[in-house]
Amino acid sequence: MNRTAKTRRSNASITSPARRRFLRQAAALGVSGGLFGLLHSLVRAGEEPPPLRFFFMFTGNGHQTEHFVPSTPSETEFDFAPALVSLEPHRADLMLLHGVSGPGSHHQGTSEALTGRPSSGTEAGATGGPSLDQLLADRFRAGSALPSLELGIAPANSLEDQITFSASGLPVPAIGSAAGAFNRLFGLANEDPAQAEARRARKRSVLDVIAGDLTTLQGQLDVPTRALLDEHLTLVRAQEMDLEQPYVPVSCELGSAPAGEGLVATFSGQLANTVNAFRCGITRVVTLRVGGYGGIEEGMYDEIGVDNGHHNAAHVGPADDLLGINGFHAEQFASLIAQLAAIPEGDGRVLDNSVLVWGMELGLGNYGHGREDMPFVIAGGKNAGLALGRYRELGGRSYQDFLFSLVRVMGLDDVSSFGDAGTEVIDELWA
Amino acid sequence: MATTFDRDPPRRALACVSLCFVAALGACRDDRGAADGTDGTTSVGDTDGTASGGESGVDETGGDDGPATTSSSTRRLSIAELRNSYRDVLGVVPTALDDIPPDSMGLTFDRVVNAQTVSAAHLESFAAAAREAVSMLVAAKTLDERVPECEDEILPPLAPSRLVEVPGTGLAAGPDWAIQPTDEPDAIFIQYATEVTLSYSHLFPAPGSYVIGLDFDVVDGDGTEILVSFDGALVETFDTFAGPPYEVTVEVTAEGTGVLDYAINGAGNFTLLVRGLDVEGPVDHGASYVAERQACVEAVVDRLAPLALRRPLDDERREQILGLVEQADGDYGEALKMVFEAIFATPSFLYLVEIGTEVEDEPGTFALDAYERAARLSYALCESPPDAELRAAVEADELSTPAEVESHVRRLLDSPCGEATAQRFFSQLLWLYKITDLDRDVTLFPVYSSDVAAGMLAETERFVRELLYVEDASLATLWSADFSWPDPRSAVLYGITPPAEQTRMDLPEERAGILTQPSVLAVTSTFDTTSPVRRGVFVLEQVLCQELPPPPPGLMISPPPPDPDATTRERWEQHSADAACSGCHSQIDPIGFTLEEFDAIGMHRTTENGRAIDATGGAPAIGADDGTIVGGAALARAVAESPESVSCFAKQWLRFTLGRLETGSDDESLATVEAALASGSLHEALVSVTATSAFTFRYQEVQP
Repeated sequence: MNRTAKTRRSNASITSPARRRFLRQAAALGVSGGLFGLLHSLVRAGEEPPPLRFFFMFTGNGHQTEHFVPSTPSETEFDFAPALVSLEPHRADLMLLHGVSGPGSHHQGTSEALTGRPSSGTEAGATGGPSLDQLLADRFRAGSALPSLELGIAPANSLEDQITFSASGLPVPAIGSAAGAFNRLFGLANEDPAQAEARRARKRSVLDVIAGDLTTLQGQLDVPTRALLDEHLTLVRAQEMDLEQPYVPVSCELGSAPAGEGLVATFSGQLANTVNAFRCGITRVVTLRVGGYGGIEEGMYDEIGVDNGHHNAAHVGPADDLLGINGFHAEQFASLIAQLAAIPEGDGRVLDNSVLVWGMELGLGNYGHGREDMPFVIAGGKNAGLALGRYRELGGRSYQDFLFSLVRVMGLDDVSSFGDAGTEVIDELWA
Repeated sequence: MATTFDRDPPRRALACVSLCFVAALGACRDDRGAADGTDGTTSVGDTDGTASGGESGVDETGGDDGPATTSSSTRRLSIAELRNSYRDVLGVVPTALDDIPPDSMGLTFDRVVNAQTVSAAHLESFAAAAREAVSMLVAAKTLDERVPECEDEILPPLAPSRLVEVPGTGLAAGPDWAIQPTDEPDAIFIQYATEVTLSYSHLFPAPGSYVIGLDFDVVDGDGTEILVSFDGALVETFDTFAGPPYEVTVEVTAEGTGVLDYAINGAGNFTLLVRGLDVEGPVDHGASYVAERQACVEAVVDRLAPLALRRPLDDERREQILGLVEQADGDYGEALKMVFEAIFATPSFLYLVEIGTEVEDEPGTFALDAYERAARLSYALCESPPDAELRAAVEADELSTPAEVESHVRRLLDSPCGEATAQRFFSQLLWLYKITDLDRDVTLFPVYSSDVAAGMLAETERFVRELLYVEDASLATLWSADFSWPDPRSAVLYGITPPAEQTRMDLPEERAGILTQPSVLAVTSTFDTTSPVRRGVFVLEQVLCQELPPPPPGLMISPPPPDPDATTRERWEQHSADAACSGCHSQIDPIGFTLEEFDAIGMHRTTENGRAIDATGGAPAIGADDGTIVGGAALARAVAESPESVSCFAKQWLRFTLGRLETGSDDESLATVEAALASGSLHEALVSVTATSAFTFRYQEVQP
């Protein structure tokens, strides 16, 4: 080491993987959830307004009508029905909607939820993609470290459980482990930019070799045989293209890694992952799937005092169990709203630039089986011009038009249709 | 955290088949289902050639009215198979594999291509696993066990070597009163002390050697000694002040923080200017072994790639992979990680790729080469890459004749990995994997515990092992045997005194075969009650391969209310009597009703809610009208005698071993397995699949 004319860097700062682990460990020892209140959004505003984010929480089954619909159904002076009382503090930041009409039952419920294409076939699933979140992910990928994040709470992984689909129609499965999802985010945050450039260059070289293997194999197989390989190559090419974009460093303290198992801890962890992802600008698109077809099976809701499986409660009852489960989901959604509302961004809050949607598999009705009257809670998105502080019954507008409207809410004005038949915007969504 | 299976088999059937839907749409037939296992409904995959969700281009039914040609798909190795592959090739199993989204069980088994997907999360985990394997091998120093050229001394440190420069102002110094301002940036000036302490807490990124250098000068007075401690232990004493840097080397045993303490003593008052501290490391002790390191990485490629990729590596690919080394800019650990990623995160490893050679006069039919045959055999029967014996046979060209292939098939099936794979087949087929998480209401079932659940599973596993490997039993015996091997922990479910250990026991007359074992009865029930619909669907789909179609869209239903004064059967009967529901329920419910004498933990009962159990039912799908079967044992015997159970088992075994759904080209192969099942032992039937054309060739759609 040359000691003569040494200038020193100020304050040691290594951003090796060990440091990140150290931060996690140290933080786990002491830092509480109050951290978020002290944070600011790290998304650069610049001259443009901060970009919009999209979040979709999918829960299984539906609502008993009276658990969702206000007893005073006034557009602005509505009350909050029993399942939604935890959302009341956020009245000014949300809208309650129902009266959207989709076809059929469970199959359509999961497969259509984000695709606008009802399922067909014995193994229920969409007949094509991309789902809304993947469309947005593709459009927003430049400038995002991660195109999208698929989170889950005990997400079952059969085809009929899936809600997100890539452009080729293959499911994009959810990560059920909050710690696992955190690791993905952590790996992308706080990289030393010089080291990141070197890492990216090396990754490009490795992907080049892997792509070579793929194209060699493809050349020897027909299209149906190599369907999965084709998807794999598409993903590799997308990674390569991302690596060719200028590196967008993410410098963001993520707080402690989620810990604990079970329903409440996993929800808390996945919501924290969502807040981190949006606040740090790691991704603009997050979906959270709670269970899958029919919701989470038995056993998990006893943590909140409901000793019943979700589908059983929704199918056989008692109605109070269904209320307990949906009420819990509403609390989680309210928690996300609160967390994003607490983080300043530009002239407002991260919430103002985040379109949060709570959608369900089925609709309102007796135990909620049926999709003629689909309910939604939309929160945030003030800067997208949403009509907040409202209750609206949409009189049978189609589910596909609803998804198409969300495409327009997110700013994709050049898209003229979505799904099989979504072509008309629902004007009531905008103020 | 789910590591292998997601929790549930297709709930579409379980949940909504229990709902009423319109019989007029012909959703369920009252006559027997078609013998090929479909009920004649056509597949509704895309007709425009684009892949439909999860169907990967394979025609799902293809059967009775489809064309004779098929299309096969290159399947991904299941997560279980990836773990085994890492274990066998490297001796380590990376934890990153746990982050891969669990494989779909929608088609019963975790490796059926028609239900597989791949996503960005998968790719990240595949790459992370490959890189993590390097760290695991280096940390354990076991790379040389697989690649002798990579001796311990030449291995890289676990993190790249870095230099961290800490300014004087970043050190904790004392005594406080002695610290004075200075113009020199980042330095501290300590004046007129007789003893000075400097302290620094550093985060070491990995175990290894670190060189610590303290840069300071004595600007006035005399220092006498410098005592350097690391984590409280003295590591070095300097008694001369020859000038900076004052370097020590510390050995760090684990990543994490370590504290460096310097005690500088003087003869009387003295003054120091402390500029800072450098920490460099972990030291790459193997850095001088340049030639050995190159030999090591080449040997990694030459020895491990053929094992991982299950075939020799061609020169061009070899050069490409080795070309990655120079991209690592001298970081040897990184070079190894890039090479591993190119081997273990590449499709030739991740997917079971089969190309083969087209057979003359049989367009669309491809004969596998010896490497592909070995891989297919090995993954089919052992869920792992070809072992040394199989590889030797390939090299010696002794894996081509049917007799040669069969000798390995028998060897593998009868080996520990073969038995484990056979058990996994049954575990997935019969939903037994649900038992480890099985939750029961202990207020209703006080005898139930996780020990009881373990016992249930042990009983069925023993039953399978005995029938398959000891008794040479037939498939019919599997379904209707009048004996079992109850486990001491779950013997209470039979109402018998627990035996000292599992022993063959004759069953009471109400039970027969695997369908009335507590394990199966429990996984087809719910938390607190039986579900005749669930059991009926289980038998229809898993055992008889009767596909139940989804309910039509637009259906609104009202579920039957719970009734504490009725039996489960009585509640369901009311709602199935509805003409709108009976279309499918006339197929499903009669099966489930025959099993109503067994509760949700598989115990025999004669009453429920104070009312007598009526176990009269039937199985219309196999020609037993409702009312003609009373009790589970009778159901088991009816199933055992049905041709549908034979054709279904053949289909399930083919799907499991080949990892794809069957198509029209497989009719002959299925017939071979069915014949073996009907006439001989289960063991021989499992062997027989490997001699079929389905197993020997792969098929592609022929363009007209």
